[in-house]
Amino acid sequence: MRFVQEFRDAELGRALAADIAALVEPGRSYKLMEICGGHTHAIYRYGIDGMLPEQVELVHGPGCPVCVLPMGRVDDGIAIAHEPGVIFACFGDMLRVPGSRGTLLEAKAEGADVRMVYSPLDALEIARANPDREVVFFAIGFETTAPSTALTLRRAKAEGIANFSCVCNHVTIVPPLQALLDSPSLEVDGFIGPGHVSSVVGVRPFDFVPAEHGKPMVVSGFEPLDVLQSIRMLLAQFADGRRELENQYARVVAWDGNPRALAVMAEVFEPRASFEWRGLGTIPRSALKLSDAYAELDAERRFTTPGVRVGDPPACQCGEVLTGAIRPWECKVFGTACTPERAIGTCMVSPEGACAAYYTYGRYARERGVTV
Amino acid sequence: MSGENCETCGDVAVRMVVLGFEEAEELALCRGEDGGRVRVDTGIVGPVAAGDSLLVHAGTALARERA
Repeated sequence: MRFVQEFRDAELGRALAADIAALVEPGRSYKLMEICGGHTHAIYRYGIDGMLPEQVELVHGPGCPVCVLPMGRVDDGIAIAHEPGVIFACFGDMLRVPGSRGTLLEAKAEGADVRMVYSPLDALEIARANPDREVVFFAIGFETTAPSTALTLRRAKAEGIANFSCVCNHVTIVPPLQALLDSPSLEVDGFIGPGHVSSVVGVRPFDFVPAEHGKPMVVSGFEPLDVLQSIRMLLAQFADGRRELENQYARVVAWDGNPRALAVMAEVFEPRASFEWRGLGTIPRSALKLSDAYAELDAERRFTTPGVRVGDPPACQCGEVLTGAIRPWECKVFGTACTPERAIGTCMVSPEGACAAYYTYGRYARERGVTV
Repeated sequence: MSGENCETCGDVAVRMVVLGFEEAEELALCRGEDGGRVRVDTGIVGPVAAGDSLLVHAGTALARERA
């Protein structure tokens, strides 16, 4: 298929890997953080980390919205799901995310009407088909997903669908990235920037990364050659003494983003004063809520929820994984008490989570001492 | 879900080809790489035409791929 095969060419991949090796300066190491969970998944799926010189280390940032959702928000969702007459719609990954008293999947087993949907539009369709039921969509995701929710809420409002509402857990990428960069413990030399988030917000919002923190960033696509080329672009910057913001994914990402998407988001959402991120703490203006113009579609105003802050399980080191302080397998419960089948931490729940991606694609090779 | 990963929760988009377009509804009927057909919201990419290649995330077209 066009746009796919040309970015999975093995010969070109080997050539890029050779270029990267040639750019490595003797005696120097490079720690590069991919912000986006989709990149983490691609890196392990295609064995990209195994193609890199030892001096180039990839660490995984906070780019999985499921992984950073605090347990209290899951508890709020479960409470709404148990309300009489409610159909609770969510993406598949949310079903197994543990709250303090179980998961949405367990709530479904207990009798709650919890349904997995592919899109917010599917949830709206359920509301149209069930006018006598309250349909609540549990919205989650970065700016990639927020326009989809916004467009659906605009449709619901325009059609006057009164039995539809939304729990908004949408988060924004720049504030947590700023928080990471402000952290004195962060040891990252450069960033692989989020591709599809940038298709919405553009590249420009990341200007501050090189300008204020002296770190290079390359916004990247998700095919193996995209990621390898982005790493090569970062290493070329180091070799040239540059610290710049570059766009490898120009076939999709415009420098100023998508004005239609930004407009509908501005209409439907407004920033929350602050939001709790699992492992990162509370970050100002890092999430979205429904604007007053859409208040009647806000499930948080329609239903009473516990709204209780719940601490992470003591054994869980998701926070350190999310900030790149430790690698997934260095967590004390990785692969033993915490597995994709029975996750303690959210990084193990979502396939885009760093721990799940590493468990699925890296664990057995590493245990056998095999280079992937 | 797309294979073993969830494209809605990650920053993942899937490629789809436009088969038809309902301009009034801003909805396109699209075919994915697996041959499956879905309706896609085109509200942020504008009008599309049969044969266009879209990147779709959570049922919404994020972008048209440019060569």
